[in-house]
Amino acid sequence: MDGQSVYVPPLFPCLILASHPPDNFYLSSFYPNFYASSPTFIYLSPLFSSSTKLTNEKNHNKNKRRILRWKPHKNILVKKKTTQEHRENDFLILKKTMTYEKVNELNLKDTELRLGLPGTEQAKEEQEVSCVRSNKRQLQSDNEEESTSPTKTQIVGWPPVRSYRKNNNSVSYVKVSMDGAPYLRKIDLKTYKNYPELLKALENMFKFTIGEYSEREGYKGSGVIPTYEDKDGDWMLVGDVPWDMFSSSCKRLRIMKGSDALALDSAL
Amino acid sequence: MSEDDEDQSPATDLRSQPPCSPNKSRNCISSSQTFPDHVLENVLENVLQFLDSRCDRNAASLVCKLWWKVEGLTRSEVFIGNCYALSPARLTQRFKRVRSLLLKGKPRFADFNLMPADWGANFAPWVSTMAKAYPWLEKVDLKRMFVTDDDLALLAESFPGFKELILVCCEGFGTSGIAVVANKCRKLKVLDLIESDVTDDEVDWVSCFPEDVTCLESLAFDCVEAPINFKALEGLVGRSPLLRKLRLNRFVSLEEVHRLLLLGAPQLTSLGTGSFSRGDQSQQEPPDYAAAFRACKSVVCLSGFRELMPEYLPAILPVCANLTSLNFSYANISPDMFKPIIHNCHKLQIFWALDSICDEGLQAVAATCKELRELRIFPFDPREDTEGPVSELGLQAISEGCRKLESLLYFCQHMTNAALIAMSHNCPELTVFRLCIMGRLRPDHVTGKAMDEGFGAIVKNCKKLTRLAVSGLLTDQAFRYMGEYGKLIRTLSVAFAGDSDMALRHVLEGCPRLQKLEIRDSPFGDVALRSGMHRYYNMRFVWMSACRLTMGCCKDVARAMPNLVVEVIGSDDDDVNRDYVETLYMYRSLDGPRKDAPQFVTIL
Repeated sequence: MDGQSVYVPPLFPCLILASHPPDNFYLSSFYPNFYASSPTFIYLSPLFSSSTKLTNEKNHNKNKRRILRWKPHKNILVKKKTTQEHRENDFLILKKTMTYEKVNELNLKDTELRLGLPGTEQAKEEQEVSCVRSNKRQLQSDNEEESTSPTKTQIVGWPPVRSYRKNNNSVSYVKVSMDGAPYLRKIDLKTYKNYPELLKALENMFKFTIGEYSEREGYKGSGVIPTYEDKDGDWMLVGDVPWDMFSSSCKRLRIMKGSDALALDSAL
Repeated sequence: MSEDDEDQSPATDLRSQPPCSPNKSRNCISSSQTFPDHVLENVLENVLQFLDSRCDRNAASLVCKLWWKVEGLTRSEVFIGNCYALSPARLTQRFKRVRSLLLKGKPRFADFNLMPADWGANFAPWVSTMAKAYPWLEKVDLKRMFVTDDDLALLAESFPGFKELILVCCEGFGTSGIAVVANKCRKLKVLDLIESDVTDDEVDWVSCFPEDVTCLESLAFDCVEAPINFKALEGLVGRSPLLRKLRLNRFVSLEEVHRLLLLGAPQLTSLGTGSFSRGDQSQQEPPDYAAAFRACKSVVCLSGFRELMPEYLPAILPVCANLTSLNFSYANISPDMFKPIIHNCHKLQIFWALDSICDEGLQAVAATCKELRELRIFPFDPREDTEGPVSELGLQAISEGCRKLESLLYFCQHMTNAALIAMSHNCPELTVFRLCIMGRLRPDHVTGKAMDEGFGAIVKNCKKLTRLAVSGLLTDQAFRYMGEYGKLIRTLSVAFAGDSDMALRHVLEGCPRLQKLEIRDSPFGDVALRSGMHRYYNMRFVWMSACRLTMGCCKDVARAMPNLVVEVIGSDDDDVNRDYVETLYMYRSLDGPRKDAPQFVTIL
């Protein structure tokens, strides 16, 4: 089994992989009710799952919107969370990954689908965990100011300001770049109230047409994909989060087209 | 405005007395034994019902079993500081005629993502138990509880005389739950949603209020992130003659506020102004907003300004002279915009703002607001490495100008010991001192020394201090001061501070009134934890996250103190022997460990 296509007995909630995604896709069959019906769909799970997600439907509605974090330089696709999940994710970043519960007597960890050789994922997680943890331990033992590194570890819950207060610094003018265009443009996000307005404006500005958006597959059809860089420096797909959240966290826009976009298209 | 308002009196003391008391009151003086017991009980009832304060009632209940029983019969307002300290059944067994419940759930650090979302603090068991036991319940005030729409529906149906619902920092419900409450609670006087996370279920809850004249006195929904039906709101305000407090959310524009004020301005005492920006830009002539505010003759509390358009800010000038409370903490106001406003606010006692007003703005506050009791300065840009617009200069000015200051919350990037020492001398009335130097482990930026002396001066000179939050570079010396002088401290928040276990020991051994201890990312370990074992039964909770505790020690504590619930959150579930404790949260409980703990919580 090389991870490219996996057959799992139908008793278990299952996913069947149709194509080979890039490395480090982390898959799970944790949400049988929602995705078992589409065999070719590759479900990207959160890195951590809380046991109550199965039991608490309401929570899932809140958790429904997921963001793809696209890091071009690392070529890793990782699920990033919305506010509700973000809290869980932040909290659990030191914890080892999946906590599975026994659902209907099935230990879902056994049915977890992974790519890559067994053991590699584990090593990577532990490394992640130990890295962050040692960061903290170092802080305590040295008790001196943390040396400012270019990518400073974001400390959870510091400074102690409640999340709704942090939404104050909304960016309005953002640079927009389009692959292949000779110069960048700037737009004021505040002048748009929703995604269709923004996309229409971008289409007019750069003379392109954008494909159909769907939550599962992003923008299909035209080979043009709008992405944005958020406050944390990650490149995200435009359209996944509610408009307000997007407009307050977007720092710049990039319209991808050509080979990069095609690669992403086929991956999805 | 109740961001972390603290109750001054201690929590309900439910521990000493057993739930049942026999009819014979053997502990009473011999002469009373000649009276039939029920007469004595009646007399006591008539007397004890006048006791309002929690402390007094707790004291009275300790006199003897009869007093305990009668006090239980006459207490109408119950305060429960930790929802897991007892079960709902115990509440209904002891107190028979409760009309009002104040219930607090999660610890404060849960607000900062240090605790997973599904940890607990569910309101459901409480509402279902009370539905049967207290049909005459009138008021529920919840803080940091998880409340679902079903809970709200049950509440609305079970209590026909329900009058006041206050939800502070709660979550789990949405506008559909609010709609049910609005619709079914016909005697509703107060509906306050404060800093809660309300899901937008796309329900027009404002239209759900009954059609006839309402009893509404207070309606606060500034935290609801969902548009509302303004026409319905106008109608509601029009038929609510008793309405005194109205706090709108950011989906209400300035024009709409103007229309509401024309309807009901004279009665309003508290106004949350919504977005304070114009919704419809196309209109050329904006209405006379200042005239609308002039009509607000009774407004003493002003808040809102969620998406402030600064050019309209002068419209509030007519009310400034009467204001006792002003909340600008969502408005990015520069000093130049701010000074003309604050110069009129002579009566101001409570002031919340963003640090965008800078030291200059704080100096203006100090010059004008001589009656100031509470000041909160929040960071516009809450990150560690930014240039802070406020500093020790602002704090110094405030300490010199506002001598009556009682409560302070101050976020800044740099601070000096000198400013803190000055404040400790200038403001002897301080009871709450919370300073957050956002850069972790920052020393005094002038002298380069640790912030020990500054905080030491605060605990030493502010003799009434009950709540303290520290930050910056702190050594064990600071904690030595706290232990030596902080005799009245009830709440202590520590982050990234201290050198060794001795620091925590000083506090645990030296602060006899300590109730709530929350510590994160500090080098305190097992020795420190063990040193406080004589205190934990007298405390509401202890929170320690990212410290140096081991599982073994926590287990020892749990074993030694059976009525203490010791929760370890986030440690490895697969490996119970894993020694490092990520988060420890422990609290006393009369009814043992809770049954609704999620998987990531291990109760030792």
